[in-house]
Amino acid sequence: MLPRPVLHWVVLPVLNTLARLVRLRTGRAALAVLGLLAAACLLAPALVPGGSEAGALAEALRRPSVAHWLGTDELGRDVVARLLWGGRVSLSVVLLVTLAAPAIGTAYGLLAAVAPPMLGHPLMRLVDGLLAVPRLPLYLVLLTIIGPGYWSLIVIMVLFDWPTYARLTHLSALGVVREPYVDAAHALGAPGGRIVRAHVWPSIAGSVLVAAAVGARGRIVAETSLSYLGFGIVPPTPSWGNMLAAAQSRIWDYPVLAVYPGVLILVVSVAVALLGDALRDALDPRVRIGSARPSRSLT
Amino acid sequence: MLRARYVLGRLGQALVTLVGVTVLVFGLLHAIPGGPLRNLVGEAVGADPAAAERAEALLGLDRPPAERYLTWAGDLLTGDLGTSWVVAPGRAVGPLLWAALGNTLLLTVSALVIALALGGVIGAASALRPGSLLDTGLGVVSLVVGGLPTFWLGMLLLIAFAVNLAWLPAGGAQTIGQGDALDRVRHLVLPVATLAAVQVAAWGRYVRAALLEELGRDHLRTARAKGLSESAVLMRHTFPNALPPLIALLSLDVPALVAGATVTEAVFSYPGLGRLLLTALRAYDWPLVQGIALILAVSVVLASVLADVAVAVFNPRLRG
Repeated sequence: MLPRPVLHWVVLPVLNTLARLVRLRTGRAALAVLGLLAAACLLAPALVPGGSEAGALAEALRRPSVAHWLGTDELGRDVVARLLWGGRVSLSVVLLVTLAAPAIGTAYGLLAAVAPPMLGHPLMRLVDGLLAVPRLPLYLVLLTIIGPGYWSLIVIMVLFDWPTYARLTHLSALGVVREPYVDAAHALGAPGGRIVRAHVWPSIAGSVLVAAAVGARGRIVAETSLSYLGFGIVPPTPSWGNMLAAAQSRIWDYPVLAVYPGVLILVVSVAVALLGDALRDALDPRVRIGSARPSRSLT
Repeated sequence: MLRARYVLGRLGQALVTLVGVTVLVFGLLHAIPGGPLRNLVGEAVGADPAAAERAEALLGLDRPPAERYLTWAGDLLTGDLGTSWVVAPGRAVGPLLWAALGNTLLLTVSALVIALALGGVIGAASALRPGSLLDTGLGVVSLVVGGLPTFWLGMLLLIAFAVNLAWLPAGGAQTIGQGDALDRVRHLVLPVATLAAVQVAAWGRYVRAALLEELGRDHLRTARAKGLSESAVLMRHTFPNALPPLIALLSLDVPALVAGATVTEAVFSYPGLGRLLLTALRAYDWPLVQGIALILAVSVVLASVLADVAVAVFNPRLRG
């Protein structure tokens, strides 16, 4: 059996949230779409055992057929295979950044909120500074310096994504810390750590989660844009972004190649937006979902 | 009237930010393992350390970083932005930048004006009839368009209008040999449309949210009770009060505009600052990259200062 803290703070809230999500129509739709796509990409090694590189130049730019459901690309590779393998790369980048950046940002923001103002102020000035810079040029410069690639991309995206969550957590935590019940807890002798764990975190967890989901939209666009420009995932590793770049070179011969990866990006983007909306409703204790029992909060 | 101290204070902050950004970019570029010439000095020359040293001496790279930065900053004050290493070897960076900047400004300002106008109208229409078919319809469209990668929208427009229909040119800022206004406008249509589309969705949402917030205020009820017509209520009380947060948003939107413009310029091979940055980075032309970084930093800081000042103009409580 899992250790009690993990069960109480991670497993139960996640299951609870999922249960509430599934009761909402937007939640069901979003989870279905994302789940299907994720499963397809995850199963790519089984569905297309040949890998994403198999192809012959003689077969280049073929129209859809039984052998190649969406045709072949400019190097003769099966488009469906490239889409699935590219999806693994693109979606995993977005997922990893979505897991890492909010975690780091939340920890930072909470720390800055409970720390004495002498420490908290400069910490948050750093966040403000990081949030003010235009990201794309900086991404491009940094990726030029450390070289493009899967992990470079993830590290750099996390580097500029965490400040958003630091600011969100900091502001929310400051608000919660002023509540009377936190004063009461403090008066009863609760140490700072317990106050954060038991009082601050449950109040702000919901908004952090929603922000993380909503932020995933921007990350998908960022990853695909950087890969399109040649600074993110570079060939031969497939990514929906660099597939679009290659497709643009053949735009006069076979323009529809440019449509498929974009459609998938759009589908994921819309599904994530719906998921964000559904999460917002699911995590709001005032919204009644499904049964007549009183709504429960996150834990 | 605005306190001079407030404006001066903001300008001082701006200067500090600029120095910080340029130092950062300078430091980053020169912190590459192997030195900034690592990618320029090819294998043939790299095998000969004397040649590498000569190259470094020629480009002034054998002096300590701090001295190089101060020299660069000093040159800046006289208007000298350095010389390009690779993209246009030997030519001054300044003229290259101004030409590109002009093109980018043309693109961005046109797109922004269209986005503000259209987005404003759409947002206002949605806010005045919340929950209506128009509102939900626009919400759905905004959801879809807002998630589109700018470059994909650009590619779709390119396919539709330049490849299939051949109504508009596929790229560049002007046809070689021509350069009259109509030609330039034809070349601008698709890039501006691409950049504006995503912005319209965003501004429509912002304007709708700002107006909805204002429409719920109590003082409007008083105004109506006093007998003011609905249009007067809107014109004199609602719209002006909804402006300050939108102006603040303008400055926050600049990074998104910069990113959108860069990507759009890449799709349409439009010779603007974004495309120049991409070219410079791919060629490891550091003086050019530094110059572009400086311009970007200046524009972001300027936009932020202007927005703060504008908000203070509209909100008397912030003036001191």
